[in-house]
Amino acid sequence: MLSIRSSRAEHRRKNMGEKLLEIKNLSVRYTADKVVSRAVNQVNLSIDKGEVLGLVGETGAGKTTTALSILGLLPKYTSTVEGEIIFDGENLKGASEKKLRSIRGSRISMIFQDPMTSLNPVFRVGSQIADVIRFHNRNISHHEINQRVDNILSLVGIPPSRKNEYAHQFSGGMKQRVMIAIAIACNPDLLIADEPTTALDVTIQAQVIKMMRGLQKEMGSSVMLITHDLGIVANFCDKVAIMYAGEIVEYGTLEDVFDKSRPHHPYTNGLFNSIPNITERTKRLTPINGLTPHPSELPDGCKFHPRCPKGSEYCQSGDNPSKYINGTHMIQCHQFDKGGAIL
Amino acid sequence: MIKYTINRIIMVPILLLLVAFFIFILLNLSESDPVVLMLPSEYTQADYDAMEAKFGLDKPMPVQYFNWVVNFVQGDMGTSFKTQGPVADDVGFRIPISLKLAFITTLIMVILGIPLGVMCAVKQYTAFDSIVNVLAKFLGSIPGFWLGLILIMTFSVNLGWFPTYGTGTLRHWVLPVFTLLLPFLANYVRQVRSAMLDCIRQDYIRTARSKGAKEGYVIFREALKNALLPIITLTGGIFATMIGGAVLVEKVFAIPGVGFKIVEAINSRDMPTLLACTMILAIFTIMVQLIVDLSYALVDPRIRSSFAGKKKRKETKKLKEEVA
Repeated sequence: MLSIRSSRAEHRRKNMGEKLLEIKNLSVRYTADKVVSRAVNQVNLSIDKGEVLGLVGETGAGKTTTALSILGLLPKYTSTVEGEIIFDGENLKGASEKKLRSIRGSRISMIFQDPMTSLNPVFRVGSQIADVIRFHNRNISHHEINQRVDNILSLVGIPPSRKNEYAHQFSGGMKQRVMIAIAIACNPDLLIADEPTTALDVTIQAQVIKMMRGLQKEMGSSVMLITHDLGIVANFCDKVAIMYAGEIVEYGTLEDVFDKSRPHHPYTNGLFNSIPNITERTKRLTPINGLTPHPSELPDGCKFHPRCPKGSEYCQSGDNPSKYINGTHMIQCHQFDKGGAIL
Repeated sequence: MIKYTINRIIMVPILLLLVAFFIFILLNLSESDPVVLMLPSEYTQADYDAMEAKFGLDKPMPVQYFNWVVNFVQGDMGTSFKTQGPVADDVGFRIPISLKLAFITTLIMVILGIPLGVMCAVKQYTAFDSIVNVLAKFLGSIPGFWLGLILIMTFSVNLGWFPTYGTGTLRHWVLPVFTLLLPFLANYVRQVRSAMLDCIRQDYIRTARSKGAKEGYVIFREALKNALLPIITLTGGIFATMIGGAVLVEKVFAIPGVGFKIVEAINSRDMPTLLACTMILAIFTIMVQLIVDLSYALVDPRIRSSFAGKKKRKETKKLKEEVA
């Protein structure tokens, strides 16, 4: 019934578990008025084929910057990118604009945070979906494009008759569905969803997440889900990366990160403790004290030490914390130095 | 869309009547008595009454206004106080000349201004942007008549490339159009630049790039169409201003335009001529505004849908019920 069950999806299912994207030592700096902001610092990440990775962190942790750097969409003059972004065997860092263009929207596509402003107000939604199909398929007939647009709209739960309407005629949830339709129109290998539900109200959030999960299963695509909602991560993701001040502080499978009995980064513990628990009686929530440091004024040593309940003098020293690795689980924290002894 | 159009068109005659009424009142507030000005230095009361009756000035102001409107609608613009002949003879031939000057200048301004403004926005803070910006400020602050005189001196008198005055051939138009164009173009480029900058920073531009659109497509289709609203307003306003506002250029190059005539009519207190010229300018300004309003609706679907007709509303309602 659905055109999305293509040979491409079959191929992906066969090759599940192979590495699709590997980010090595990625650093991004923004320069504005001689102030250097270190938005992303030495990030290592990888996504397998068919896998869903959750990228979790507070506002300003560098999640969106990481995502935009994959697509090469960071502002040209004010940002510097270092490191490697290996996508399906090719390094996208330093790739030509032509190469990147052929990948954007067709092999890697992105859903943005705010559907209200992410659609062009003066073009029909149908034509905005048709655009991405036209960009990546030469010699495709007008008729065929139309059919595919109708098909994709029904996939995301919008009646195809509404394709001639404009963005202002859609509600927020429907606009995000249109954005998803644009993102999946070319059946991408990797879908980056940048807080796709943050701007939506809770009932619509659930609908959109459910739909995305269904589509992901259907297409077998990999997904990088950027969010600060741990509930969504628990529902949707295979692997989780916790990001703080431009660094990945904890990384592992869903079990690694969500199992309370295993060791965790103090920041991860803080995140979980700040979620209200309905089975226990609590008078107050336990927030993480302090604020995320501004990327232009990152502290020395471990970047979390000013807010860390377990922080010691050692954490303030110039060294980056070493990585504690246990199978698939990685934690970047001094407390695990020398076999996990807390210093 | 039809309702929107009709709405706008109905406004045109109402606006024109109002404009005419205000001009009429203002001219009647004038201290000097036009009848005395037209008579020889020695005249009798009988001469005065005859002259007053000839121009209908003996009637009360509302009656004068009514008569003038009726005549104007029929194409009779009245009798000039100065030439004592029909105003239409003196003004009619000037309209196409003024229109031509304004139209050619606006056309060149759009053809040069939009690409330059867009380029500046795309290359914001680069050398290109800075150079165009400085040039625009410099050229924008040169007085038009002085520029005209310098151009005549250089290209007509010294080099002999272009004629100094008149409107006969295409070569006659080069210097006046250029003189009129420069100050307007300078401002236009900067406005297009800022309109484009507003659009380039929007989220939907990032979306377009993330779809794999080519940069030219992103800028000239996705961004420019959104920037068109303020650009259209500006273009329409400048065109309307140029029709009557090119007085100095018309004076320097001896082009018999409407603006030139207005100054003459004011100097000689020729009320019917002044009234006719002002009305012609008002008509063109309002027509341009009408076109601007209509093209808004063409460009922006949000404006279009706020004026959707009854039929369309019913259709949408039906469609929504079907879907539900």
